[in-house]
Amino acid sequence: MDIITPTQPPKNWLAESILVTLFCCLPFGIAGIVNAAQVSSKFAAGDYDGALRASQEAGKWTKIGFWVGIGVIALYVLFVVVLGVDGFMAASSGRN
Amino acid sequence: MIKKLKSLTILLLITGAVFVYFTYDPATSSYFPGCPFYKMTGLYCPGCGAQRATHYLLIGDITAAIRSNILLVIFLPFLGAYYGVQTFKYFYPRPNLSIAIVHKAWFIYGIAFLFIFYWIARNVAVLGSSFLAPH
Repeated sequence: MDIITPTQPPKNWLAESILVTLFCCLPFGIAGIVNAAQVSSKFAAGDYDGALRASQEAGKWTKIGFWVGIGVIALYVLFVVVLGVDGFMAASSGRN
Repeated sequence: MIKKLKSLTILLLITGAVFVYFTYDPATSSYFPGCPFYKMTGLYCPGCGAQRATHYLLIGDITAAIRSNILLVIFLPFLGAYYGVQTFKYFYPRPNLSIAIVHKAWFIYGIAFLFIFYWIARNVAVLGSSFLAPH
């Protein structure tokens, strides 16, 4: 074997996925967490390429959740704060 | 340079968010976005109550924070430890330093299961929605 096996697993995005799940209120974070688990299980099984792919997948879902969350906040600021659309979301008791 | 600028931006955003969530209560102020999932479906998601929980934690009311979103309170020490290690590594690079449990598949699958269970249980009376839903 002359292939050097990395000793550290690739970034699994676990903490970021948890934050996205809690603060962006969307299932994308959970997709990130499941992929984070696959990073670890594939790395433990010696499948470094698979772990790297799962890492990219976890990063993808986390970033989608993050930007969708930012988009929702931007739309909210535009409609409620700037345009003053009353009762659009402000009247709701269902706050995050 | 880019990395430093990024770190500085994140630091400024966190400081700003801490100030806003310390000063204003999302439960009574209308300047906070509500949950789009709740708006569309009328159901609670795992993140509902997280803004209120953040406010209550910052003003030191842990009981109210648990009532708003117990998972945020549970995961905060974990997230704090993780980002503490990351910050340490940023200043003193140690490629092999990490919290071992972060890379254990059973632990991460457990977290995924916990979030999905929480999502269901917040909306189902027999699973304890009266305690787990934001209240």
